[in-house]
Amino acid sequence: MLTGASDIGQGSDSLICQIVAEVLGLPFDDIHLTSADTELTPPDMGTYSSRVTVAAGNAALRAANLVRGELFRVVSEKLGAGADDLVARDREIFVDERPDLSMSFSEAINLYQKRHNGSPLVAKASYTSPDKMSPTYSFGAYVCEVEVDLRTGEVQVVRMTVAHDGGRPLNPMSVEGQIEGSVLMGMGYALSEHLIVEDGRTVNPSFLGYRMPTAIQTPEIRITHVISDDPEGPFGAKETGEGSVDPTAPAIANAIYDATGVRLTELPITPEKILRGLERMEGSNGKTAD
Amino acid sequence: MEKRLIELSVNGERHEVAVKPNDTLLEVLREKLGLVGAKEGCGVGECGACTVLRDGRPVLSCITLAVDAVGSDITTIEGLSEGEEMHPLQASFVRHGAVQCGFCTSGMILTAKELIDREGNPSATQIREAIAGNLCRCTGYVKIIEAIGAVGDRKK
Amino acid sequence: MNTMRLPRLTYLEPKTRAELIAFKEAYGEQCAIMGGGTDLIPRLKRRCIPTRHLVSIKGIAELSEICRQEGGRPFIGAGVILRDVIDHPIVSRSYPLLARAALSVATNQLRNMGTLGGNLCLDNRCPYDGQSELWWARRADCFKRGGNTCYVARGGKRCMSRSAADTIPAMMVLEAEVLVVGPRGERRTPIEDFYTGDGRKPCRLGGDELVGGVLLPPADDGWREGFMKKSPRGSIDFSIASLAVRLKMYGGSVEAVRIALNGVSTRPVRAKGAERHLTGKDLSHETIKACVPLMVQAAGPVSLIGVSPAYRRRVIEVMFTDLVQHLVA
Repeated sequence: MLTGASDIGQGSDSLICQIVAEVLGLPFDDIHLTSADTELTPPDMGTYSSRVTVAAGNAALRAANLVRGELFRVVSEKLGAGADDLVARDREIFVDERPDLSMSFSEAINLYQKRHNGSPLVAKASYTSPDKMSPTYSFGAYVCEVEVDLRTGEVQVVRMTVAHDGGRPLNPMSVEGQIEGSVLMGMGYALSEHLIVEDGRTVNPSFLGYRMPTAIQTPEIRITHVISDDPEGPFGAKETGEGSVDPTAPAIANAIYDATGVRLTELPITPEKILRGLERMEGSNGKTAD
Repeated sequence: MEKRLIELSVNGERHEVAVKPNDTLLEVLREKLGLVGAKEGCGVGECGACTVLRDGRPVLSCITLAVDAVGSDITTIEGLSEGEEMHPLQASFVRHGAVQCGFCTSGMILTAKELIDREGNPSATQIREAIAGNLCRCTGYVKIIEAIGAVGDRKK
Repeated sequence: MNTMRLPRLTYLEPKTRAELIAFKEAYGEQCAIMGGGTDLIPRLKRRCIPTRHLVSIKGIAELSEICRQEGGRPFIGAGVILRDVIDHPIVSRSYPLLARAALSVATNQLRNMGTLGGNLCLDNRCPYDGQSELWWARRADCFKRGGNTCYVARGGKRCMSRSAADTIPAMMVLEAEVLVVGPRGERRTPIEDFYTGDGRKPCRLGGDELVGGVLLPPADDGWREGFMKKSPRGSIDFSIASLAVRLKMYGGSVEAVRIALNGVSTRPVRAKGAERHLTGKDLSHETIKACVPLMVQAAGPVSLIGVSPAYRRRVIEVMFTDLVQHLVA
């Protein structure tokens, strides 16, 4: 399997192998993947925009289906059954409900080669979004619970409860990993990260000054996978990386509003901004915020 | 600035290297010894990606002078596995999906190793405090904390 | 190939105290004494300090140990690593306040590298002074860099860089003494007299002197003591304020009290006005509240990114109230 898709840790290598293995009925370890090698692999636009599962996944799905189609053609002829009645599973190709009418995957390959003058079976496929903006969209409902110290404005995110519609989680562990990482990134965006520029100079060009969340800030994160089986995505899958950052900061801001009555829309929401908001409320009401 | 011949003990092996006073331990590990498991995330001791163990304790190799490391036993991530056999922490990280891009991973595991060796079965709070100096942008730390906790639980 | 190379350096490793003193005398202000190097090395990488000669304190056995001296008073050498301070039975049993404060410094890794001497002598900082050589190009130097201006307090007449080390308030309420060594011998100074309040030169040390260690008073378990650090993300960040309080109660009243803060000014602060106000009184809510203005008086317009002086004063108020209430609970 050759793909231009670049696995930067999100798990696209695994995902592409899973898709191909699923289609061809082979164990995951039988898929040998070469990815993101500009000397060898076909193009891919890159890992951003949460696009790889749909773009490279669909390309892999199509290529795998072409391979399966070719194999089923020769096998159906040999077994005397319709191609539509064939199943590929556990390294075998057999007639549905007739396990006695089968051959192994390797035998099927050999048969293909015999029928094609020894040519290897090669398939290639690509995917381009049918829509200029995006082939599809993910959705989510993110609930945030915070504790705010009304004396200091300090915020602790206690729990994020997430329902993410990524179509179908083809690798649930990877999807959770993406959601968890994105939630922390959204938290940093909401509460502590700020690139400060004065007179054209960045005042905090360092990890220490930029204040991204550490392990201490990690909240409890509860995840529900909402399965919508999107027609555009490979096996119904959509995305989960960027779509999980977006709702997090607003959920936190809304939770802070719920806790304090202070509505803040400028990020990061620092303790000091919350205190000033509380003071403004006190000033206009003549009483403390409850 | 003259080069000095020093002996470093790394992963149980002695290495003789010629270093300048301004060579850091991270530079020597990566460029002279080919041990590229330790990473340079920031170069100024703020991210933990360069963490190695010095006499069993996690330290930041990017701000350690190589000449200062003479006489200590240095352990890098390469020193954790026995041949093809992963250390329980490494295996747990894989099993729990605690590795995404992997850049923080070697530092995380070494920091966790010292914690487990010291505490046996650390609480989630102890784990968080121990790895607070290891920054990660990919995982949100959740599966990392689970992976470390799982190794602790096994020791019970 | 990495991206942050240190400049050319000389690294000297004296083996005895006498050798150390001789090096310091020879180099004077041209050299920096290095413990763990956790602040020194990053500053050198950013090329924001002119020093290029490092003299390591780590090889000197007598300055890297914790031991009992006269009268049962513990001596902690300047070269003792913070982790070893925290773990040492003398400290954990008899001076847990110091262990607590040391645990709030930085991160796990940095506590395994940095020394108590390094924390004691930690250079003052502000968002501007620690920036790189490139950052400062074509920008007028501030007071700390030898210029005539301050970017923290625009129009100010002095350096407003902030003293930020977390172990100092604990040592201040413990009324520790700093051992200073040099070619003319050694001297002891109460820790509260050790800091100048001048951001350009925060420690009261002659050009040929260095810190040998600290002497703690004999253990006295008649005190209730507590330490608190408030910062944006926990110990990893420099403090908005760090606070140490020691209280001796008699009946329901305060027989004696010691209060110290750091992170709030150009030097660490003993809040003597607040101490006087509390002595002889009970610790009612009103008494504590009345103390707060005396506490926050100490806080000057020093800068931590995203933390205004006004906010810092509120934080001090809350910290002090919470800590004292916890101590009398």
